[in-house]
Amino acid sequence: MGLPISKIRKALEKVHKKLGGPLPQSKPGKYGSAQHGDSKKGYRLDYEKHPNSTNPNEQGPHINYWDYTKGKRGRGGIKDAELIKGGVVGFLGSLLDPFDAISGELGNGDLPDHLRYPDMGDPCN
Amino acid sequence: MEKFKIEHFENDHPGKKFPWFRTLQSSEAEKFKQSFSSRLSLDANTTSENLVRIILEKSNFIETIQADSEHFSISKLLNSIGVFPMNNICLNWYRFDEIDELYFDDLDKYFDDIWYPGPDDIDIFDQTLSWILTILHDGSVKFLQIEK
Repeated sequence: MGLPISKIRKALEKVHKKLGGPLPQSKPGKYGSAQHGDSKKGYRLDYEKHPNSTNPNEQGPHINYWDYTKGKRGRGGIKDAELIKGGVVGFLGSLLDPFDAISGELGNGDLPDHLRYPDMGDPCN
Repeated sequence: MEKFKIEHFENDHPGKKFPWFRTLQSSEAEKFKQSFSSRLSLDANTTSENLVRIILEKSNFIETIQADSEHFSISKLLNSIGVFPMNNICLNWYRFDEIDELYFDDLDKYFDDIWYPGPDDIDIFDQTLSWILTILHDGSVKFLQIEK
């Protein structure tokens, strides 16, 4: 098994750059996804693609992020998503916050097999 | 209702106050949770997290409708599927533990001041408990008709 968590890390690093750095862990999203920050400024892991979305970054597993500190959408607010390229990941629910795994609280090597993300290969390679 | 949304509204609509809303007390919210669990024939011990998941799973996508599009109208959408909401509706922001009541006309008129894409997955319903409209964070829309 590879280390697909590195794919989440790549996407997460881009999100951090856009939001000015990591945000503290918060309660999970409504449907259980790992979430950091809050409703005003934050990001959330989303394993599901959204076929109806016009945003190509939502056509696969992705990290949603938003920053409404300056206003609502169209008034300075930002909402976008970062695609997890090549990553098809399984649902871990509340078992683990992969954002924390990435940030070093749990190293890749610490993840037991049953908690690792299945690597479906990288179609970009 | 998040305080920052009220501040944004008042900046964007100078001189106007944020529409009336009332945050339900936990006992009221719990009643809605129990009522929906019962109407959906779920075990009385169904957790709130499972309830919102089940609602989502039972709902049908309304294809071609995106709530983040410029022309989205919640009243037109509901009317087009035969739903004419009561004057007051409820917004379930999380797992039946954060519910706001507000006027449907205000939600219709100021929808993009209330629902923010990205963070917000909301369920909308009225006292009839006969339907739930779910607006997901990416703007996709799902609808559940609940038999009496």
